[in-house]
Amino acid sequence: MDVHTKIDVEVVSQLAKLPLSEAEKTKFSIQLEEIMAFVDELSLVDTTGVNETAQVTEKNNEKRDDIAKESLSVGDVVVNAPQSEGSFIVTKGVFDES
Amino acid sequence: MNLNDILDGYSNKSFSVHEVFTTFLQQIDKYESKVHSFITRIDINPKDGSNAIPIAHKDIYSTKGIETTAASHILKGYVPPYSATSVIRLESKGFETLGKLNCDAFAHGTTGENSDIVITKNPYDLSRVPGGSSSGSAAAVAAGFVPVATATDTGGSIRLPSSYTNTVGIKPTYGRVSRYGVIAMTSSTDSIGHITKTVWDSAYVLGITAGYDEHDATSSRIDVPAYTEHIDDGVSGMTLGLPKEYLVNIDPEIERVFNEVVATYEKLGARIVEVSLPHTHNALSCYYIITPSEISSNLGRFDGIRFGLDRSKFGEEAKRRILIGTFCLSAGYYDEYYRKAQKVRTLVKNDFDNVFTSVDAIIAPVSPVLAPRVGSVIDDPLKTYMLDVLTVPVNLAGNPSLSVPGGFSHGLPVGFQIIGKHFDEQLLYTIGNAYEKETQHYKTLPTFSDSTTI
Repeated sequence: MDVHTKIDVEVVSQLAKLPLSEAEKTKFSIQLEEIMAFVDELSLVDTTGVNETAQVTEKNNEKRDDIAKESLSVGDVVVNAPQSEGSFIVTKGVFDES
Repeated sequence: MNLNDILDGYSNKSFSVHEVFTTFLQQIDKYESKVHSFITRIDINPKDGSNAIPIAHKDIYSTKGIETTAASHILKGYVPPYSATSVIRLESKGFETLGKLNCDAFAHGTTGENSDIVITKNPYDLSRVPGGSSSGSAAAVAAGFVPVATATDTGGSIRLPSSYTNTVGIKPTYGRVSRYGVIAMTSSTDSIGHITKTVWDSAYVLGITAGYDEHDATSSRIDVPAYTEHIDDGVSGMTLGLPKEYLVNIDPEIERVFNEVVATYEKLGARIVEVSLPHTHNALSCYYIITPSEISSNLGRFDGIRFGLDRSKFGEEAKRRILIGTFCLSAGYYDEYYRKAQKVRTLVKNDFDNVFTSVDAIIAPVSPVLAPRVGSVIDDPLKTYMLDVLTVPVNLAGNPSLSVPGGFSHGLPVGFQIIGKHFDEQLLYTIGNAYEKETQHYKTLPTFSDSTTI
């Protein structure tokens, strides 16, 4: 790993679908470099033979019976959508650039 | 009045439900303009003859029909069509909400200053922060606005503000209380808890919220004990561990108060031993890789299509964490960052498991410094992250921890934490109650003044 990891804010913000102003891109570039310099110290920790911990419960593959139960009504589902038509939520076109 | 007082009073018919609610509402009217703990207030009129109890919820708890903003502009106007499991369980026991409480937006923060709405102040010194992210919850209980406030602790967000505000905060074992309906931050560490004035009150409330929930696949099926049952047993004969790594680089005043805590437990009959949690100094870096990574995934649902405004409306700290997290999870970096952090997380967890073979519980400071002044750390994200250095290891390991008022430094509250084995909250309450009975710090009320003598 690079000693000084630099995040390409332009690329990452597109991956994250996170619109940023030019001023934000500049500010975050500097701040993120400082933060990554801090977390980079983890590379020095010896983790040979150590398994990952994804979550700390003893649980695995929690299942339920495949039976439909009462859930939110359609009205409840669309009520907070900025744009809706009846039981449909209106979205931007997939191929529209915005 | 605290929760125990209210329940006793109802049982003895010493006062009516209207008298209870009036007491708290009058306190809010008097001091809320100085403290700014609420985002949304509810006009409440409890039913005659009911034994309703006032509560308020951190604004990341979904409350059906009540605006829930996560203290962020992106959720302005969002009204959930359902309530969190914790909210429903509390309502079923008579708790009625006075409103939604301020916090760092999406619970991202350690001082409360990342709220998009308002900055909550510390009732013990209005020039200082109450701590975050459960800033409004801690301030509201400290100020006497409610006897209990719900909160969450993902990296310290209950314990830190409790320690700054002379309140009791429980971070239960991960999986002890359902996360369903609480806006997710870090799904593998989010712990659902609450803040109260006293240890007994905290134990009583946990008995209501804890327990398996079919809506949360990570919630535990382990039985819920009667948390108040052994609360007066005392600590005689117990072994308490002091982790040496938690006692370096802390403010001398924190050290002084903590030494008084240790001396008190020795006087009460506990055996104190030094222990070691060797990966403590790696835990913060580990946390600040795992946390933003899971945040970037959880905040992906805020698409401005099904609910909420567009993603440009996220606040600064949310944007920072989305960027870091997206980077750490991206192709080419996932192994170096996220997977590496998950391996270090195993080491942090093993440290606790090893220590708990020889002690009943661990006691330690919560914050390395006294409550900061408003504006003194917020311009430097790393400085705000550092406030979590003594709290995040517990979240990574999933253990429960109880923050208890330890004492004061020139009028500023200093709390300490009692860390236990998984699902050993009942013991934490016994240990915490022993200290509270001896010192009764909850009786020292806030001054609502602009400064302390520091």
